[in-house]
Amino acid sequence: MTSDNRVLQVENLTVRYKNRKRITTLVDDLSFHVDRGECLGILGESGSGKSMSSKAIMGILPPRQFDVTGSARFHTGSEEPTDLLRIKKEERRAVRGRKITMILQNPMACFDPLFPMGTQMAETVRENTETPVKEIRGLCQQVLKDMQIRSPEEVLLKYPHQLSGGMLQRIMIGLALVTKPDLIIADEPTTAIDSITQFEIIGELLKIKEQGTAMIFISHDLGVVNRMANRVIVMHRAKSLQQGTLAEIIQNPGDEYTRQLVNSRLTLVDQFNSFLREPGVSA
Amino acid sequence: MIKQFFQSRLSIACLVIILLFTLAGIFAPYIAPNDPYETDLMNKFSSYTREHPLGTDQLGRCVLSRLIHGIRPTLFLSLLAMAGTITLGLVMGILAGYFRGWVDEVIMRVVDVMLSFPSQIMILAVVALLGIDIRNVILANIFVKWAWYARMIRTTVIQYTGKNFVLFSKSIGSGSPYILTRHLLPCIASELVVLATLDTGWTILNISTLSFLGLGVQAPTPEWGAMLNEAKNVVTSNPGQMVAPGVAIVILIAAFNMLGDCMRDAMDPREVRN
Amino acid sequence: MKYYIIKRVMATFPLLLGISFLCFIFINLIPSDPAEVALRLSQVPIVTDELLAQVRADMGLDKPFLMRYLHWLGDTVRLDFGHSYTNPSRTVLGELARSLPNTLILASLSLVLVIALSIPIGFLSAVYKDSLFDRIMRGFVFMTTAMPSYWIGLIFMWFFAIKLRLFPISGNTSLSHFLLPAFTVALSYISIYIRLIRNNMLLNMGQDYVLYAQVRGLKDGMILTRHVLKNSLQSCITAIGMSIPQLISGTIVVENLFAINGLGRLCIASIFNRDYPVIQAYVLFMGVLFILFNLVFDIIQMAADPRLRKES
Repeated sequence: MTSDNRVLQVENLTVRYKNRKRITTLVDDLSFHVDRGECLGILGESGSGKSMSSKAIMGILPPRQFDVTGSARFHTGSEEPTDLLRIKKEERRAVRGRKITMILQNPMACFDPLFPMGTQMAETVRENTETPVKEIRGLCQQVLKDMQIRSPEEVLLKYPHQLSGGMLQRIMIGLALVTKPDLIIADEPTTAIDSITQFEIIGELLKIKEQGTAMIFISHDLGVVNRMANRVIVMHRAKSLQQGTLAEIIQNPGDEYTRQLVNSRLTLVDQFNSFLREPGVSA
Repeated sequence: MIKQFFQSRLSIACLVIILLFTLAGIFAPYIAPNDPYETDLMNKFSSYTREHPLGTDQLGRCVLSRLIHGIRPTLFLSLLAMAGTITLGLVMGILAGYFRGWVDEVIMRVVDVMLSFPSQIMILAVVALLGIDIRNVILANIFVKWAWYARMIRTTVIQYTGKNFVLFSKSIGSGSPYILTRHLLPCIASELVVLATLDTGWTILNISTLSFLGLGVQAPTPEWGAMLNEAKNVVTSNPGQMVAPGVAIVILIAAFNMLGDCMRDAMDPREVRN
Repeated sequence: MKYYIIKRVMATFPLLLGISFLCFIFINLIPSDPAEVALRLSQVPIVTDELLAQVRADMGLDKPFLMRYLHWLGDTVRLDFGHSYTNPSRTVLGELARSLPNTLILASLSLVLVIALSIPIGFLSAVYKDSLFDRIMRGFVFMTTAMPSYWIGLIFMWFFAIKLRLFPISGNTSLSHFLLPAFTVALSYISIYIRLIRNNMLLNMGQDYVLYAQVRGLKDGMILTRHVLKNSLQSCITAIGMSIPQLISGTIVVENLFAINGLGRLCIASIFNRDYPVIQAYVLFMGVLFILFNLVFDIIQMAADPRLRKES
């Protein structure tokens, strides 16, 4: 593992939430790294701090309420790595949406309801790329085409509430790719959509992975993480419990929580498989 | 909720202020240093002296004594108006929400018309109709405000009549009045208290405004709005006269508003973060 | 959308009817007999019972209640409110028309002040939540809601007109006469709208679309003005629109304090003089104003929201 391939190196990331008298630790001393062409899965139940850590790296937590310490060195091109937690607000904004992009859960609520999709896509493109104004429209259409969306011209004129969750999720993925980022963070991208659409979305994400863009994939779903990730971090109650490939973790769960997680999942899979086998279908 | 409410020092302070005003109003004749009606034309517009701690007005009457006696019409009449409003609103709301059908239909249409009318104009209309008198101002206030309470109470009643414990009570044969008093009223009470507290400030403002315009409490009777009306006439020669009654009104209304806000926060923790 | 507008307009008619009915009941409940008043106005020296009965028949007062209501409604729709009791040579409509301009000047000045101050203050208060500015403004909002407007007016009058001599004390002959009253009226409404806009902004700032806009790398200023402010104002359209009739009716106190000959002063004077036709017309005018503004701004709010515009 040479450092040439390194995209992101996070060390001792700690996030605390300040609320009047109480201080709650949401992410406790988390360290990990992501290499080029690799997908890192972060696995954990809701409230385990997995989304918080990605938001902290993106720098979108309000500084008045959140206290973020540690370092997140981001390597881009041949330049010196920059620590995302220490750079100025403006620089960080230049990285965000351009070098690092993000796909959020709940796509139905992620677009401004008062603007048509075309306007919102165009403002993203204008902000993050040097595309000439005349070509922006065409580029937006191309993004939709790449995401297998039919009649892109019409979709651009539509308002968010007129499109389905799966469609909006695909537009979000398209927008995450349009700037050719070094790293994509997908935060529970399949949670808020139905299972058939989920299947298609995973397909799109797998394509991105094959193209060699580094990815952090955050989910509570072991099965989905299994399909996506090369390496996995298991998070529980703000702490990282275990890191490694999924096979390693399944074979040798180091702690009680991971064991439970793996077991409950395995039982389910076993049951499912035994159902399939019963009618006499050969395995 | 009550525990959280009492933990807030602010709400305690508001309660204490309101309590002090109330006590001062009840025992006004014993506390006030002078007779609020006693005129002394030789000694008008006097500044702060030991005998008249807040000075005297254009007729030489003691401002502090008038202020203390003024609590009675200002605060107590507002409370009376609130009590009337809540009673009427409660009766109408429960009738509409519990019996539904045509009773509900009639009451709610009246409520709609009442709510679409600007309340200040409505109060003026009622006072104009019944004649200029403080009793009519109170009636007007009740007449204007009850619809808000009726609608809120109706909604709550409908919400709770569907709940299991009320259905259970019905099925074991409890009579309507029993169900209403034992089960429904406690559910409405907390919301009602918050709304009523906030509205008391509004009512004080309203009654004193009408008195200021000369439509409410009449001249010699000490009332804060009426006192400010008198102060208006001497604003060029003696501007200091408007300070005391104005400050008193602001403190009292602020106390009610703050108390209402605190109670709402205690009831609904989500609001606290805003 | 079309369906909604039609439905909304239709729903307004019963309300208008209800209000007109209230006003009619009002004029019927007053202690004086219209026939007697009519005789007095035409300066008949001796009022006999026969004469009264005849005038009643002429005026249709012996007809059933509903007939009289319909007759009255017909007159009212043609803006015929009859003559003033205290000044029989003048029509009620004329009296209202004479007072309306002053009230409109006052109300529109206040409206400009309210909008020009409450939107930026509400916006900044939300953006810099819990900052010194926000805390000062929250204190200001709290204080002004507890202050009676007549007291604020008195203080302004004393400080700006008497002490500093910047403005005339009272009257309505020049524009400068209107500035202090307008500011007094505006002050009590500004706080309502500051609070409304601030709360709406904060509500919107917690939405997912703001988070995603940040993720997309948009500038904070752009997110706040283009997206959050637009969404916040969108949900306040009706409330802001309703401030117009509210300001028109809210001038009563200030007009009386600063001696401006507007609708509010006319109304209070009529109450003192028991000039019932004028009061009735004023009440009816205000009621209709509120209902119509509510209707218009509800529809505007609907039309401004793409989620509601395209459906049905």
